[in-house]
Amino acid sequence: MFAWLRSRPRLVLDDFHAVLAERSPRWYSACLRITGDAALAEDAVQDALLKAWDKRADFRGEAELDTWIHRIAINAAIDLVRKLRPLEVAEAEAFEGVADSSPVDERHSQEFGAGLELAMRHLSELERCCFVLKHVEQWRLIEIADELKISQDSIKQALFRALRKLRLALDPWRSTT
Amino acid sequence: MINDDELLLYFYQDGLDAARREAISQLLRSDLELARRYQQLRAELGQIPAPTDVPPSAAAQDRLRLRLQQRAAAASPSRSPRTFAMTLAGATLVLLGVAIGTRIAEQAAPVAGPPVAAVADPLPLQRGLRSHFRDARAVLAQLPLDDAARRSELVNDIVAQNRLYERAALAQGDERLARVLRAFEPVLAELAKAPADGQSDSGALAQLEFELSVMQTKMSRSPSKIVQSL
Repeated sequence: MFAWLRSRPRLVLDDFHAVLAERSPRWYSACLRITGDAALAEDAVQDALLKAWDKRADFRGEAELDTWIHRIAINAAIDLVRKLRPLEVAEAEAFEGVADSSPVDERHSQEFGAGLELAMRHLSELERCCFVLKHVEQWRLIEIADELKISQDSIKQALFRALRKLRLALDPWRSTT
Repeated sequence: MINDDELLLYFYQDGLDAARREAISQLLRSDLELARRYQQLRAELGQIPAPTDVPPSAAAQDRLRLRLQQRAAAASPSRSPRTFAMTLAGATLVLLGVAIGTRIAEQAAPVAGPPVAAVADPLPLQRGLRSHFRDARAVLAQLPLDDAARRSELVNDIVAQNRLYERAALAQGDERLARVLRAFEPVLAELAKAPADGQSDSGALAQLEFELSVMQTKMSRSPSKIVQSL
């Protein structure tokens, strides 16, 4: 979509406005899935946008501009979550022990509607991050481990728990198979 | 024995070494039960609903655009300090006007002064802040104890407004005002949570009410010199 930007010698404000107008829902949604909080998601997107603007001279065009900002936004979202709510590794958490939904979870669910996002409120912070980064964003496990500063084994365990919980929570989806 | 966790890693083609992947591939060809379980897992993963993208609110999009413009203006070497200051002031006026106007349009209950007046006023930040503190006090006084979602929504609206004014203060180079506004946020975050059964949040409320009251009084005495009075 923004391939024409690659051949440009330098990025200007209009390039950022164009990509912002078109891609901000994607960045915002990705950050919202990770943070579970609309204000934090907006902060993450803003941080990413400003960081990308400041570093625009380093942009070499290997990726699309929106992909570059998307990645920065996800990193910013992870940083915000980590600062506000440290990601705890629950080694032996029983997946039947689904946490009660918080007001934030409820609002999050309402914003996203039914489906996957609704089921995701059953996940812990770490499980949600791992699931979103692996299944939705398709990161490699090693990338997730590096970004979250947690061992790959812990990432795998969180991912396994997340999938088990989702398979239970998404009962209608499961029963149709 | 291959469990579902290993099958999941096999599905993602990640987290298994080459030898283990090859072993699972061979077993899938020879073990019908394993192959059936893998097909089931693939089907379930394939049917996980795709996440839907939700656009940020119009106000949030305006804020993002304007913050980008402000940053670009701040970094521009060709502008004189006077031009830069005027650009920042202009951007701040637009930010306040657009954001307040959009929020009013989004919400049934008005929380700030009319956007046209806010933009035209020579002291929009002060006017907006007075209105913000007055509205915040009114909302906090009526904060529901029995409706956690509504309570959180109301407090988060105040937080969002607070951040807006904090950013506007920063854009005007008013670090002290921004710091004071930022200091309200942890108390507001506490208030957003419903108090546990049998407990009261009157302490946090009283603290915030006192701070807001002090701010209001100082602003009403010297609306053009908020910083000096803080």
